[in-house]
Amino acid sequence: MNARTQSAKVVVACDPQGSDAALVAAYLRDTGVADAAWYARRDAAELDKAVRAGGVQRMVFPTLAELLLLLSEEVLTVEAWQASGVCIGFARPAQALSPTEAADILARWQEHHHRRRRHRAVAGLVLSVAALAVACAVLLLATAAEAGQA
Amino acid sequence: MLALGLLLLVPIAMWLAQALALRAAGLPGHWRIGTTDLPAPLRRVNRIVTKAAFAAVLLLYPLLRGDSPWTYYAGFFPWGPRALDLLHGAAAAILYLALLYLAWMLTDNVRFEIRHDARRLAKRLAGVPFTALLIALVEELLFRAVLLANLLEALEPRWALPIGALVFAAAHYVRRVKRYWTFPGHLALGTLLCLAFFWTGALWLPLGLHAGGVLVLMAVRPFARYTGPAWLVGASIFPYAGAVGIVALALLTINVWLTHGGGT
Repeated sequence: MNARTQSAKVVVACDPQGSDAALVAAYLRDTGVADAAWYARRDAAELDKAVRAGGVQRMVFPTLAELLLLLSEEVLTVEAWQASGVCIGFARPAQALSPTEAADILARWQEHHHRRRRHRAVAGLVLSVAALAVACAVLLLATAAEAGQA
Repeated sequence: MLALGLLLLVPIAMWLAQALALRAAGLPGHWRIGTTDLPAPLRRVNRIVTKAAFAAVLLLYPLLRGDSPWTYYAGFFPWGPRALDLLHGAAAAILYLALLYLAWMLTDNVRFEIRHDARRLAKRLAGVPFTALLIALVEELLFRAVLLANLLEALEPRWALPIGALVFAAAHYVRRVKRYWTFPGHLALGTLLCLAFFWTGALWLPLGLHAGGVLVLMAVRPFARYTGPAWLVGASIFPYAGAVGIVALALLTINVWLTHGGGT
């Protein structure tokens, strides 16, 4: 179950030594998956790269909470996965949470994330302009002081 | 145009080395330099050939002009108060980059986190000042003391300076790279460094600007994760390649012009 084969069509976002490993392994067994590549949380960026590289058909997370946690870390590009038709599954679906509800939560989260990214970019631009103004002014003052001394 | 001719021999040497290495490994040839097919030891050989080609240009150029390399390059480092331009340049580059990173960090467009264990981190950081100075020194000798100085002898500055900046930028894309949209950022950087050399007639200032920039980028690299859009924060080791970075380089060029280009 630890094999991280290049050909694996199913990718698992779970530490193979972690507490959820048995649960995910059982889920894979039940759904007839024989070959899956496992990535621990610390390797999430590597996981995302593997999925974006193509060839992956299904992503399995132990829980929806785990997916949301990784999304909040901003290391996953779920939109790119969805564009390439990757299915997302959960080994332990939340109680009374149907697959459509999970998809809805994901869509809403992405909407929120887009809005937040836009706000951050605008704030970043405003503060960058301020930073550039300060840097430029400091150097101008230094030049003026030097010219005054001369 | 001797310098340009010598520099153009570098990619040819790199391509030949790659072709020979691919052949030795029993792999098919590639037109692009920087194939990823090569096994690690042969890639190392490729890197050594690249460095040897740069060293050969640095040695051959003054010799072909009839100068000793030491005398030729020492002429670009006039001793005295002008040597302080090295510190001025480094301080200016560090100031701009530090304030930009602060702005991006406060707005969550760059996240700083410890991503390596302490031992590996200490090892990486310990070599940063030396590597930054070495990278900047080699590039300044090649692109300013050899290429631009030679272009300025043969052409008017209005031609020599853009060609110098263009070759400097293009040189970063000879090998296959992950992204090409960073080219305008390299062009803006090349323009700043070429003008700094042209206005001062020495390497102290461009070397300081270059080394200061590389120092910050290398020191930040093990900690930074870019989460903002590329137009704002650039990418990976090229934060100056985004729109904001290019504006920063333009402003820094104005600062340098005011101090050294007769703008005061």
